[in-house]
Formats: sequence, C-alpha cells, structure tokens
Amino acid sequence: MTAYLIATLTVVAIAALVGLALNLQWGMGGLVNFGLFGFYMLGAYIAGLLTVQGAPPLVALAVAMIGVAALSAVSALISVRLSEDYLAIVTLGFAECLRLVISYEGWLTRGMLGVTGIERPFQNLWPRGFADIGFLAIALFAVLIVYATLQGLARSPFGRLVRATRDDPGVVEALGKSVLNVRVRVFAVGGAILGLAGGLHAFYYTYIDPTQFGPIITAYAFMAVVVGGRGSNRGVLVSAFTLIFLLEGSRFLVDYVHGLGASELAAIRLFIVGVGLVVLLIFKPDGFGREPRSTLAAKSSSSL
Amino acid sequence: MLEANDVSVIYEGGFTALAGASVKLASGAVTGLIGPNGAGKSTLFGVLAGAVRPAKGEVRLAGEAVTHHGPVWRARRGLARTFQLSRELASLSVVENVLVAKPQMRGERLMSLLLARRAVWQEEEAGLDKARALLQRVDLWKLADAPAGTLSGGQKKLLEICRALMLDPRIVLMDEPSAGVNPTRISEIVEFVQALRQEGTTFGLVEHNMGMVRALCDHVYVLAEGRVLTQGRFDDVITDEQVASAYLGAQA
Ligand SMILES: Nc1ncnc2c1ncn2[C@@H]1O[C@H](COP(=O)(O)OP(=O)(O)OP(=O)(O)O)[C@@H](O)[C@H]1O
Ligand SMILES: [Mg+2]
Repeated sequence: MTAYLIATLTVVAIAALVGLALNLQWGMGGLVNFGLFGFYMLGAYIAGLLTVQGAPPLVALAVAMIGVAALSAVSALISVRLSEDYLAIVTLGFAECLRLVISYEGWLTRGMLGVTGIERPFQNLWPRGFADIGFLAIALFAVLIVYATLQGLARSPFGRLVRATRDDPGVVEALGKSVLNVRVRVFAVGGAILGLAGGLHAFYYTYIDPTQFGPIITAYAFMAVVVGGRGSNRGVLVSAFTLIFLLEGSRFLVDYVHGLGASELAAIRLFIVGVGLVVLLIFKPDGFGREPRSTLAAKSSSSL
Repeated sequence: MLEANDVSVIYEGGFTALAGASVKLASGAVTGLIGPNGAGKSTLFGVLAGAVRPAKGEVRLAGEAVTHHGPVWRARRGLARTFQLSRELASLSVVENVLVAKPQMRGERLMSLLLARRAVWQEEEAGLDKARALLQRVDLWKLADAPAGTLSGGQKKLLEICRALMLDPRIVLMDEPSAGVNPTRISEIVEFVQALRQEGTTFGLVEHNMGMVRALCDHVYVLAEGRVLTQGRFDDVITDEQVASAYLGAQA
C-alpha cells in the first residue's frame, strides 16, 4: 500500500507541474496550449536520451528544460499572431507532429521500442529500498520550487502584464508594450516547466516509449486549471493533488472490482474528467481559486 | 507634432470610413475632432495611434513618417490614447490597470525579477505613488483594489484617462472622454487637460459635448463622411453653414 501511495503521489506531482505550466500559459496568459503533451514528451525524450548516452541526469534535465523552453518560444512566435482558437489547433498539431517524429525517427529516438535504462538523479543517495520515496522527494521539491517561482511571477509586474495581455492585447499594445514579446516569454517559461515535468517522467519510469504520451496529459492539466481557478497557482496545486490523486488512485479498483480491466478504467477516467468539467463549468465556471494580485492598494494606503 | 496627411481607410467589407482626410495636432494645443456619428473620427484616431492601417496617406509624428510603425512603437514615443468604448483590463484591479501602463518597468523583465529585486520594488513603489495621485484626482482610489470590470461606465472612462496619463505622454488622444461622465466630473477633466496643456502636452479630442469642445479646443476639425469639412477656431467653425447642415442640422 505504501509503495502504491508513493507511486501515485509521484505521478500526481508530475501532473501538477504540467497543470502549473498550463496555468501560466492559459490561466494567466490566455494562450490555449492543447499541445502540452508534446512539449512534455519532448522533455522526457531529451532527458531520457541524454542520460542513456551517459550525461549526468541533472545536466540532462537542465538541457530538457532549456530545449523545450526554446522550442516553445519558437512555436509561440509562429502561432501567437493567430487568434485563440487557431492557437489551440496549431499547438495540438505541433504536439502530434512531435509524437510522430519521435515514433518513427528510430535512429534518434529508438522509435516504438522506447528508451530503456534511464538513470535517475541522485539514485545512489538513497539506501536500498528507498529509491522511490527518494524520487518522490525530488518530484515534490520540484513542485515546490515551480510553485514558488510562479507565485512570485504572478505577483510581479511581469505577471500583471501577462494578465493584461490576456484581458485585452490591443490595450497592451496601445500602452507601448509588445504582446508578442510577453507571449513568447510566457511560452518559454511554461515550456521549461513542461521540460522539467517530462524529464521527471523519464526518470521516474526509467523507460519511455511514445505510447506513454497522449492527450490525457493535456486533459488532466486543463481539468486542474479549470477546477483550481484560472490564474490561481494555489487552486491548481490543490485541485491537481486532490482530483488527479483520486483519478490515478482509482487504479487499485482493478484488483477489487470484477471485470474491470486497466483499459476500461482508463476510458472511465477520461469519461469522469469530461463529465466533471462540464458540471463544474455549469455550476462554478470560475473554479475555486482566486488569482493573485501584483499590488494591494489597501495595504499601501494604510501606511499613508 | 502629430499629423495625418490625406489618409483613406477602407474597412473589410469595403466601407470607406476615411476618404483623404488630413488633420494636424499642433504641439501643446488641444485639437478637436467633431462631426456626426459615423463620420470617421474614431477611425482617424485609430490611424493616428497606429491601430488602424490606412489604405492611403501618411502619418507623421514630430516630423517623422511613422505610417509603417504600429501602436507599440508610437506609444513608446509618447503617444497615448483612450478608447470610445472603454477597454478596461477587466480582471485586473483598478490600480493595476494604471500601473500596467507605466513605461519601461524593470519588473516586467524576467532577469531583473531575479537579479534586481530591490530596484523592481522601488520602481513599483514610485509607480504606485503616481497611480494613487492620478486615481485620487478622479475619486477612484477608494476602488483601487476592485476588479476594473466591476466599475460603472463613467468610472471606466475615467480609469482609461488615468491609464493613458500614466504613460507620461507627450500626446494624448481622447475619444469621447465625457461620455457617461457626470457634469462636475467633466469640468474636472477639463481642468486636468488644461493643466497638462500648460505643461506642454498635446491633445486630440473627439467629443460630442460642445461645451467641452468650446472650453478646451484651440483648433477644431469638422469631419463628415470621411472627409474634413472645415476647420478653424470653434466659434468660427460652429457658425459655418456647411457644418450646421451636416452636423447640427436639427438645431439650426
Ligand atoms: N472595424 C470596423 N469594421 C467595419 N466598419 C467599421 C469599423 N469601425 C468603424 N466602421 C465604420 O466606419 C464608419 C466610421 O466609424 P467611426 O467609428 O470612425 O465613426 P465616428 O466618427 O467615431 O462616430 P461616432 O461619433 O459615432 O463615434 C462607420 O460607418 C462605421 O460603421
Ligand atoms: Mg467614434
């Protein structure tokens, strides 16, 4: 049971990172990124392939973050001139292309065979039998750092500008600030987080193949953001840890419910996510969390 | 200071909103733009600000041709504007709406956020002082933390003026600043504009409130059907027969 709990928590921590990245891009920035899983997959492959080539895991992770950030920024450059619905299509297409390339360019990615024997960071640090809990600690630490960083960004003048571009890009331009510039940076920072999450995925499973990456990753992230409240990092974190925990945790039902297989369960999970989102959008369209502010005038005026 | 020469705008769908209009906003003056609904006044502001691309003609800012430059470039050179239909940043608070307009914020750069936290904080404090002064002037400071989307129509117009002024602009284009604003508040806007003009700020003003135009404008252009009908001092222009028939028909 403990092993099971640790496994679920690790998966949830990684999913929470994806949710936080989406909250920056879509929640705060208004940029629909349906291609999350593609960037995540890229991060996993960069980290995984470099590690099996002998690169130290932390270096591989850093390269994954920088690489995905750069590619995200480029994809933002191409697509942010488009309106919101087109951006959704472009990012989705982009992710599918990435998946195809990774699936079929076997000389580089080992194709459908997958990459095996990926080494985890600090794996010799933990005593025997504590490898998974050690890795969970690393994943939770990553969540903590990312959360703190994003919370800092959200409260900063930069975060304010990002929310302004979401509310009305035309106004931001009339104020002399380049919307494109803001969006590229938002995509880059989000991409770095997705690269981190993907890298952790590769390390955790120590084996990756293209079938592990699909739109369910994107669906979980959107669910976390919608339920948590667009723009609210805290809300996203809480909803990721409760909802995704419950959904992922439902795996153990396979052992108890007769006639329930892993594939049925996967389908049921997707169904629950869909129904849950619809219900939520009807009854609480803004989600539960609240967006942080850069400035509280009430605080400053009391010192007058 | 800011001029449009012979600009034409044809909107998607083929409607000609401007057909060779020329206006010139003289430095340190308030230039009015009046004319009936649909005359093309807001469109002309869009052209001056860089938001609307003219099919023909040229825009000059401080003598330099800037037609090919967009709104960002022009705003960075001191051109600020308000919109006829308020475009508040709805989910941002009132004070954030003003603060976001502050030019060249180091806190908007990721590197500075990491490396120059103190400078970022000081700059933010300075910005807040300025935003407070502006908002207090139009009695919006008491709502500083409210989401801008919850303001009343007139309050949104006032907020837009504050936001434009936060840019420390050399030129301000105001599109119907008095629409939906109560009379005492309008005279405050008038005083505000006059004070800034004394300091050398150039204004463009689209307005249907003739009292305000009379009080403020040094020079007035009358637009109708995308063309400049006539121009001159307000009192001369308003007695012009053409204007009377095009614009004030009902009253004349
Ligand atoms: N985005 C647009 N697309 C198509 N036509 C437009 C657009 N904006 C304005 N127009 C048309 O251009 C004409 C001029 O519009 P504009 O907003 O410049 O008028 P205005 O002089 O500001 O009028 P008002 O006093 O009512 O504000 C109108 O007939 C309008 O229908
Ligand atoms: Mg108008």
